[in-house]
Amino acid sequence: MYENFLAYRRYFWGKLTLATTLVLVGTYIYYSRRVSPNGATLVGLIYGILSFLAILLLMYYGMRKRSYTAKHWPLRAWLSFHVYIGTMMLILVPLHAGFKFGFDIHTLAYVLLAIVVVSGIVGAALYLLLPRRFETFGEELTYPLGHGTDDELRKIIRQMRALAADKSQEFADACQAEIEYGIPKHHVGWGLLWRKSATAAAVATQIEAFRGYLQHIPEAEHGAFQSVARLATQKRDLEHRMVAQMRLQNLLEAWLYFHLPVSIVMLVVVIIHILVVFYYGYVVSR
Amino acid sequence: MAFTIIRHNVLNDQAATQQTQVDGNSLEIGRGSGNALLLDDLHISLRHAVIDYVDGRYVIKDLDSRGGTYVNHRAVRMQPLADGDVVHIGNFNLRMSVPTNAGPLSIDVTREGTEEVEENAAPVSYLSHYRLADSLFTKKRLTWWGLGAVVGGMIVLLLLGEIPLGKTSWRTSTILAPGEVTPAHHFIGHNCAQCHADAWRVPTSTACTTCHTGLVHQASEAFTPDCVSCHREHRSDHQALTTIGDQFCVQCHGDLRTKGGLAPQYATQIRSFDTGHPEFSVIVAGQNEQKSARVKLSDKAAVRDTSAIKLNHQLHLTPERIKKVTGKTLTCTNCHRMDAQGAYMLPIDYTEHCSQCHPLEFDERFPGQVVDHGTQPEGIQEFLKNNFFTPRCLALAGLPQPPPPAAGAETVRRPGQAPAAPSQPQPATPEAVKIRACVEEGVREAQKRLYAGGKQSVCGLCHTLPDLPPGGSQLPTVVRPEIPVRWFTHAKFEHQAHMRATAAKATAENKNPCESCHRPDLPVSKSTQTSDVLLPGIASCQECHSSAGGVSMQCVTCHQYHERRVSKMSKP
Repeated sequence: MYENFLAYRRYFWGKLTLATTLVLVGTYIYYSRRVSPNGATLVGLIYGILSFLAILLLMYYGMRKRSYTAKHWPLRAWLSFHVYIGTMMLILVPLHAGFKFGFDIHTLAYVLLAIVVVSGIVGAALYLLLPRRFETFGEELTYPLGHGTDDELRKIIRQMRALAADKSQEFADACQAEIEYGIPKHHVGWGLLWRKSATAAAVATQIEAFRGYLQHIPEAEHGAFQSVARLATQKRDLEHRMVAQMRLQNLLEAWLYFHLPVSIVMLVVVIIHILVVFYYGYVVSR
Repeated sequence: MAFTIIRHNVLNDQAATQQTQVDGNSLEIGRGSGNALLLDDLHISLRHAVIDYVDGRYVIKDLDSRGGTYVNHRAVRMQPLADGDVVHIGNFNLRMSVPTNAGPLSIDVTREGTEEVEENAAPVSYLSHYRLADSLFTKKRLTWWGLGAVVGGMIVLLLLGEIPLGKTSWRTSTILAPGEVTPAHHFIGHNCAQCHADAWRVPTSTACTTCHTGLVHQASEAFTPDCVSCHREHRSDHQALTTIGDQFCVQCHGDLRTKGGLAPQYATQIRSFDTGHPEFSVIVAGQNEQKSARVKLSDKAAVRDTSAIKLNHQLHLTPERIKKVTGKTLTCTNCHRMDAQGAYMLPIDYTEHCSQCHPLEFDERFPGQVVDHGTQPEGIQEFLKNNFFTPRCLALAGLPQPPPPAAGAETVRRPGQAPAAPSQPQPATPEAVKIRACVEEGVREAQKRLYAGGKQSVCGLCHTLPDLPPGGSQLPTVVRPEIPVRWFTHAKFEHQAHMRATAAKATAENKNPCESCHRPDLPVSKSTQTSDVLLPGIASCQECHSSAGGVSMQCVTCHQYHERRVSKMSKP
């Protein structure tokens, strides 16, 4: 995955896509001088069939990605094909339509395709650019985050609970507040995308505030509270890094929430387009 | 007395029930480790509540806890417990099963929201809460919403039918139309029913023939296709309606059959201009009472221009010879001029093209005086007599000129009109006889010059005249020449467009641009006979209009499906 998928086999798919695009555009220019180009001409129909086959292959990538037993081509080849041919669709479909657009489902299919392709380009760019930024987080952080972080947090919380057992209500309240502070509310994942992650200085200030509780705690429990404060420091640091990492991870994944659903809607609209066009063009005309 | 505490645990993903027996008359409940019933929740006080067995009844008592103790959702200080009561402390629910006889009180402990009490597990997975999928917006939901919005929106739009937009309105069914209507049909506006009599169906030919009348192709065609099978509307393309692909023509002409099973006349398998298209043919007028016939240009023996006119192209286009006579040279375009559209050549006209070099002079004594072109010899005879020779002979005899004809009277006879009778009978005086002889002599000489001697005569140079007996009593009849203006009456052609293409090449090779088409095997400048038909054959066109030549060779480039002469377009 971390090999540059664009450069797969010395840009094989890039070169093939470029050559195909040139041939298709050349053919289009050649024929458009003879025939007024639109999807119903022979060349338009051939471009349309090519586009539909390409869409099916592009969408098959989504299935192939999840299939670890498939043998045809390595996944990197599929990804390289997916990115290059997907980008080519922005040109191929207008060639099919003879660059004629309107306010109808045919154009809607192209608009949806454009959204899918653009979100795909954003995704590809993020995959190529963002992972380098993970290096700045130090070597103990890996992507994607495993459940180790969760386990670590749970351990800290368990220790805090153990310390709070048998302690005064003030002590217990402080511990409970601290534990609840870390529990993320629902649906915060999307909020992370535009939220700045807290700085280390801010975390230190919060810990200072927590230590300020000490004056409300009975004398006998001061030692235990210092331990809780130490655990709280660890916990907040862990949370702070977890939020920062999840923010990056979400940035890497957010595009897929457009790419995939819109691609399925697009496929449905494309099928409606084909049915409508053939119904009016061939069934009804006979 | 005793208490039975029932807890539900999850150990290694397996639900397990744990029962604990507590002896004594009192059960202490709280977060502290000293309690018999320990509830691990930081909202619960260290010592929260206690259940005592008093006078044969179990009574719950709150120990001034912070969170309070609730029985069946009612806060209590002290309350005897009945069977089935649920005590709420913090996040825990304690279901009481009070025995009917003196048995132990059974307490079923559950945590709020879950069936199991996970004492040792952390309550949440922190990481998953930060994931994008942990929200309303999962990929699956987004897909369904998107499908609902698009497909549902479409259905709603189609059901609405028409949406008013200020002055106009928008027909929602156009979202399914393959494209915009051709500008030529914009006048129909959104009156879909004008063409689509049956909604959701394409129009029948009746819809078209309401306005477009008299559309015919060939009387013997085996079947008449619907208008819409060739003319595709709703293509966002105003050319699409009239750009008819070859496939529509080849559908029949690729394997041509006629109504009644007669053999097609020219070619049965025309697949394209360079595959199966027959050589061009022209109509040649029959000789000696024969019917005129259609003859292929390749049939060199039969193809002949039967126009009753003599013209030597070579003579006119040889610069040395023409310059000797006129002092200037001629090119094709001196006589063959294009019409205003640059399509076809205008007819050749004597006055415009010939008269300058070939004046119809009749007598050297009247220099510069010519007879009228287009008037038959009888008319010319009268014209010469009245206008030239009578006045001349009278003048020679010293007699007065006859009075000019009355105003409004015709002086020049029109073709077909009977010669005018002499205005007044002349007395047969010797003088009159002399003058008549003088006039007849003059006219005879002029007519001799005009008609006699074949090619040597003024008229005989171009017109074929019958050999008449000398004496001049009988006048020849000049056959009016029918010079063809358009040879190929069924094909469209544009000279202008072709001149542009050939001119540059011909100029570079110092050749006559017209001759690059007309006719390589018999160049115009070598043609000496009128009967030479100098039209280019199909091979000449195919040099460019073919798969190899690369220039368009669609059927409709030259042909029209509908016979224009009878097709009419009535504007609404």
